[in-house]
Amino acid sequence: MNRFKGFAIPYFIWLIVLAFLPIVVMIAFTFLSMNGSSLEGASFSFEAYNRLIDPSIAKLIWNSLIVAFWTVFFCVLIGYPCAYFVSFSKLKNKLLILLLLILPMWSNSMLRIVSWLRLFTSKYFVGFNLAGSMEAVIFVSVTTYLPFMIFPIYTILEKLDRGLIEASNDLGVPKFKTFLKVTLPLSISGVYSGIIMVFLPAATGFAISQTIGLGKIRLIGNLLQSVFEKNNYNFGSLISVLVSLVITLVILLFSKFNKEKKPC
Amino acid sequence: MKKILLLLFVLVSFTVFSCLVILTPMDTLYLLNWGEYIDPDLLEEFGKLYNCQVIEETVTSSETMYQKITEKNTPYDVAIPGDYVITQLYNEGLLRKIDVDNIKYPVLNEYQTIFTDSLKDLTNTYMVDSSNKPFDTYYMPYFWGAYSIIYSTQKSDVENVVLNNGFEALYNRSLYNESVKIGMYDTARWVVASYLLAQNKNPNITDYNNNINDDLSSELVNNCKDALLNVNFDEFGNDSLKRNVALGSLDMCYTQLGDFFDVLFLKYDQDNGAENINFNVSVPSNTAAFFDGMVIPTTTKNYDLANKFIEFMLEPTHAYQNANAIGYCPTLKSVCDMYHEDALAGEYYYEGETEAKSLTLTDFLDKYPMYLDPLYNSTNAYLLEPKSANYLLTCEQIYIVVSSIDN
Repeated sequence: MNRFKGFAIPYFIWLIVLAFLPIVVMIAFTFLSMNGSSLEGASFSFEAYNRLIDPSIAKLIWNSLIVAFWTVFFCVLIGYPCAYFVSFSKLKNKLLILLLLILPMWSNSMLRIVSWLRLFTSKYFVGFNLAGSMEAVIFVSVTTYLPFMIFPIYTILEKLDRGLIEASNDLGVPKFKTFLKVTLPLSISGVYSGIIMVFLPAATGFAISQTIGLGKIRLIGNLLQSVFEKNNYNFGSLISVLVSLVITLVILLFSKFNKEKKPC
Repeated sequence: MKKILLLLFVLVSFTVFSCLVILTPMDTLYLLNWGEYIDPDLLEEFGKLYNCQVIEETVTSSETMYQKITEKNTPYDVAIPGDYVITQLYNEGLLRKIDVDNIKYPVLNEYQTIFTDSLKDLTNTYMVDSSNKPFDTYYMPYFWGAYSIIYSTQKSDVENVVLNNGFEALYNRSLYNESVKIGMYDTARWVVASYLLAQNKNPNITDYNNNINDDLSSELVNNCKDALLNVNFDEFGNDSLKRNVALGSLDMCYTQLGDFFDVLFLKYDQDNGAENINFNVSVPSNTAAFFDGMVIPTTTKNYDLANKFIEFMLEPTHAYQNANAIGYCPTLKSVCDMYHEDALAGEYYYEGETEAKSLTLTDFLDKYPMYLDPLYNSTNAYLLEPKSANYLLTCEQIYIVVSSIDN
């Protein structure tokens, strides 16, 4: 295997250049008071850190986590049964069903978001006051990110050794118990991948909250977008680092939970 | 045979490609502009006239324009940023002096004299350097307007309150006898400016003693936050606001004058003429004006062509054509005169299938005098001044307080 080690070098370079170095630069920017991203005339400053005490920022992070949590929750609730029934169905063309599931994704996501808004503000739904509400933001997030949950679960279920399920059934274990004791534990890694794939964009996105939330539902992504648009790399970097830390923390907690729950 | 055909295909393709490359104009003008802010026919005409191609890049904010110019990655020849970004670019030495052809366009070299009077007064006050000296040879106003309220005329209460109370109508729900839906622009700095204008104050001040410092005072910050929490705007948006007032889903919104004329023309165009327009615009007497100006950034590599482009756009017939296509308020006196002449000649603002669905230019100018003079009704008019990064960030922190409102 040692002779293949060389092949890993480009990936390390890739990681250093596109992941490690930008993080270092971002951290350095948080301590610098500067004009845009230019280092000319930059000076050492804790200005950005002083602004962190504003409770609104904690509220934005909290809002983001709430939206991401409920999006993930509903995506698992809808996505798992979808993937399960497609995978275990006797349909000849499962791929076609999956293609139908992702059909809306063939159109631009912004177009879909605006279409939802038009629907919510149409005369049929306007009485429900959906536009501008947290519920509507979560609903559109779920419709947007659902395919990212279905696909990893479906892939794992397709690879699952069906002989194990048959063995469980042959031993007289009821179907539901077989699902709980065999299928679910063996497919849970697909659920974890799906959760990470849905959680990250749901927590950091800004287009859905901006459009569906009518600008009233503000997430941390909205703040990031406007801060960088105003050329403020100092505070923008600090918020970016903070968001990365919070998300890393959530994922670490999640993987710890994942390890503890793994079947022996 | 197949190989010969393939070879022939490659040779023909190569020849066509080479011809295209040879025929491609030598000069390129890089234009940094807002979206849908120039008549594309004029760009084509300019390209033909000077045997060049115009590459237009569009952005959604003046700040992004500033960022792109300062990055110096693209050799922009002409940019059209907002007034305070022009000042910022000038102060940082990022603009080149405009040098129009004395012989071909003598009137253009008199810079200020060609612009409408109220705009001229504003630029004389605000567009000055640290020693109070105007730097008017570094920019050419392109379109202008004023901060306004677009309101629905379906509720008589709304019209009365807006016309009698100006921007206060946006922040004081107790002025209305019924429930109203109010929209606010989603730009943090505009939110703060609207709050100050609603109190009949200069939108540039940073504290209640009318000082203009580096950052907003904590008292002003807290009051602004409280006002946002109390009024609980029904929507924060940008282009969606004007559309929603026109559709009737909002009763009023804070916006720029150009947005009104844009949605007005859209309404006529979509309905093939309009018999009933259920929305109107008001420019309060205490307001802020704005203009976008053509500048030549130091990134230019085609200075002569950039000057020619500015000359071309300031040619009255071109400026008139552009104003007609875009719908924003023209800056040139000559263009205003052309509107009056066309009105006298019986021209239409929109000619529909029937007279009832049409609007003559005379009626349009009578009904909307602010089109040719956005400040016709104003006693106090300001331009937003360039602000520090700290100030802008504080505005942002004021704005995010809306996230604390449980919707």
